Amino acid sequence: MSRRNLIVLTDVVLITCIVQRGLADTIVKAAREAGAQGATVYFARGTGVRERLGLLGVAVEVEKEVINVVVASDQVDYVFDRMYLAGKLDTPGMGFIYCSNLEKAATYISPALIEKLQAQSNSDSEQTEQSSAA
Amino acid sequence: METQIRFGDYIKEITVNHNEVSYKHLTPKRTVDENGQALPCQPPKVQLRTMDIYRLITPYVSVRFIEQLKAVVPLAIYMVFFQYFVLNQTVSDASIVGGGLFAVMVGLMLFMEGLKLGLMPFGETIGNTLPKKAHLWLVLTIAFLLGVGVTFAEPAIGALQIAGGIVNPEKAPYLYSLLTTYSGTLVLVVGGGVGLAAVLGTMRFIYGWSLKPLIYWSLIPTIILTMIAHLHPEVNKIIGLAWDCGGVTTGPVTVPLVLALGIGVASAVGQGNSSLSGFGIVTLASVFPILGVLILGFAVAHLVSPDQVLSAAQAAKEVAAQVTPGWHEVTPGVEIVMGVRAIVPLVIFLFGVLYLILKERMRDAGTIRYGITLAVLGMVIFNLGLTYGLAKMGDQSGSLVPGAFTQIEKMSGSPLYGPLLGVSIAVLFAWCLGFGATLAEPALNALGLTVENLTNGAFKKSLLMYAVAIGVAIGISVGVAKIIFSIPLTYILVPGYVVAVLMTYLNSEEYVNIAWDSAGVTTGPVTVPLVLAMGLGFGNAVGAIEGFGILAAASLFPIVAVLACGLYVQWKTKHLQIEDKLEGKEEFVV
Amino acid sequence: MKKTSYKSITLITAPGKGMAIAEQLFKKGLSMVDLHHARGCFAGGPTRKNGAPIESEQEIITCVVSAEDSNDIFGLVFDLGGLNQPNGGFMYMQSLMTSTQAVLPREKEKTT
Repeated sequence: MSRRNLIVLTDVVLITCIVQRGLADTIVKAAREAGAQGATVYFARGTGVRERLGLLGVAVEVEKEVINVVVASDQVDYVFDRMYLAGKLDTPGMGFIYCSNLEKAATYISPALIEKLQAQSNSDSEQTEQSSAA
Repeated sequence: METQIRFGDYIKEITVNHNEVSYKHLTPKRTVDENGQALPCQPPKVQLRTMDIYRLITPYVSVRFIEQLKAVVPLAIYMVFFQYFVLNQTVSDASIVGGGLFAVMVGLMLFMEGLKLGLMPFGETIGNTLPKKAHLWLVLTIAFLLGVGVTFAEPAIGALQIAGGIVNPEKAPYLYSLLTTYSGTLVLVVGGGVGLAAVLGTMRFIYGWSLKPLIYWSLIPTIILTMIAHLHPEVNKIIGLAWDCGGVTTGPVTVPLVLALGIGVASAVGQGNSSLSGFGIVTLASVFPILGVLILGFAVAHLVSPDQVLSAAQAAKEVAAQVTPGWHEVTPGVEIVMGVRAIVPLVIFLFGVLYLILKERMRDAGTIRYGITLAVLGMVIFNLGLTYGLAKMGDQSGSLVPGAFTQIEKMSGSPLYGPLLGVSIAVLFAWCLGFGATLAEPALNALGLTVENLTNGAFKKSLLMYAVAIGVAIGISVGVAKIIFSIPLTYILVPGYVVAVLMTYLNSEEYVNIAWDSAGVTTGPVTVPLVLAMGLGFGNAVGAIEGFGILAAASLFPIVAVLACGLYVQWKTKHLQIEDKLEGKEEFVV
Repeated sequence: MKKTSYKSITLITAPGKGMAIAEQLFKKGLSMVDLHHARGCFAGGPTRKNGAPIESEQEIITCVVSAEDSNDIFGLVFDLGGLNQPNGGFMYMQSLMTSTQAVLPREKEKTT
């Protein structure tokens, strides 16, 4: 294993939303418009309020879609709200959404972006030096 | 001009407040019985306010109702407008027809939901466990019986039986007898054809046969038998009915159930998950019934002479005039009986297979009971709507449209337009009807998406949909022309299917699968009764012997259209590859 | 007995690569690896006319590792997934409250 530097992302939060099958697309669209960089969706089957509604439970689909969205920690509240409202999750049976903190994440970052980030962090550190010197 | 809004309201609209509640307050605490053992958690039933119940039920019902609305209402509006503006005729019994159409929408909505909740779980469970627990021959027998059973449950089969009442026994005795005396045998033969298709389709999944030889071996005898029937003076008139039966069979019940069984068998026994394994059954299920009905026609012609049929019809009329029919033989009783008779035997068969052969219990029995109830209710309501709405409207339109070019007693001032203009208006009416009705089909949308994925975008969904729609439009207009000019159906079908077989030979396997299935997909539970009734009304008004055959033509032309598109797409991709190769060569030289 | 803490590492990658990566992780000694399929989109990806993104197939590999090994395995998965190239995928690590310790028996080393 070579000793080399990996660029690792911090302050990352995972938002997971479980909805009835067929309703994921509106939520993914809302998440993207709110600033999420990507989404992953897969199918699952679930139980919950459906079993407790008696006959009305047939109006809730057993098959679910699980949506995972990774956002930065300052985006969380806004993206969470947008996903919640787009999915109308305040109606019984429409789904569930939760966030979890991630320790770190990694993906491809283009060299141009790396240089821009380094330049930005250099200028930030210069500013702090100047302000502390002044 | 800008509108003013209070800042407080604006802030209220754009912000979302978070009220924090600890989840600890919402989850139940563990309870312990006398001995200290933890009791299993029994969550209490949720009590909903009326508002919540409304919010829960509304998307559930509205999505399904709007789906049916989109299929029925545009067709109805088109036909009413055509009748009113082009033919200057008001729709008679408009409220009954309107009520009937509403019943069709409600009935289909309930039926599709009941199908999904009540019958599909059977299909999946049986499909998954049957191959593991039974010999191959038992699986094939069950596939055959399933094919027969689902044919009885098809909503559109009822339309055939209603159509029987409109045929004149003197002009086409065998056709009349097939639709009335032998109607049970007819549906059984059609079901047998579908069952045979289910068996062959399942074997195709297991052994991985290509579809092309199956098409050749099923279609060529059918074409030859059609040509022989064409020469026989009486069986001649059954050709239209036979080929229409092929279009009627593959509907919303047959395709999913038989497919579920087939896919289950394929994954358990066969070559693994081929993306093409879904196709093929629909094609065969459209071809074998045609063969069956033709053979039945020959058998009836052999056993019974035309005079016997006429005398039997006379006797039946006399008997009907004397005896008051029971409640179950007159509308609306007959629709209720038909509806129950369609679903219940199939359900009993499926239960029997599950409990007796597989020895398994069905989980979630409450939902299954709910689904079956819905399916039966939906079927009953759909049949009622069929008689009072679709068949009536189709009959009206069909009998009035010829008023554009010939004399009709019911219409004052007919013919409204000159012969050439009138005929072209009638054909144009049929063309637009076919085009619009096909684009509204939800099954076609699903097929288009599958095709786009299969060919990685080479065959776009819109291309397929327009090809099929144009094919059906041409087919329906050709069918109408057949009735107007009394062109024998054989002259249309045989050359058409010969061309289709040739193009099948030239096309690759994927496009062949797609093309032959697209025909079975198009004619759904709304278009079939409408087109049948319209054709028969048309035929009666024009004085033709029988009005069948439109559906047959409407099944032929989409196949040819999609095969042609497949050839074009193949040519286009090869052409681009050649261009790339040439460009590559040039770079190499330089 | 010191209580080890666990972390889960999740990798989202293109279809077809998943099984090979799972095998490599198994060879490295991990037993808690699972693989499933999903569909998804990413920033700057293709969109339809109405703004909805065009989704493509993905494979998700999740593994659970102990805290001491986590950084090494993170680097290993980074290399295996080819995340230093564009369109390589995405990965993240989460700390878990608790986890079971599952170990599968290994084939005995063959001495040649």
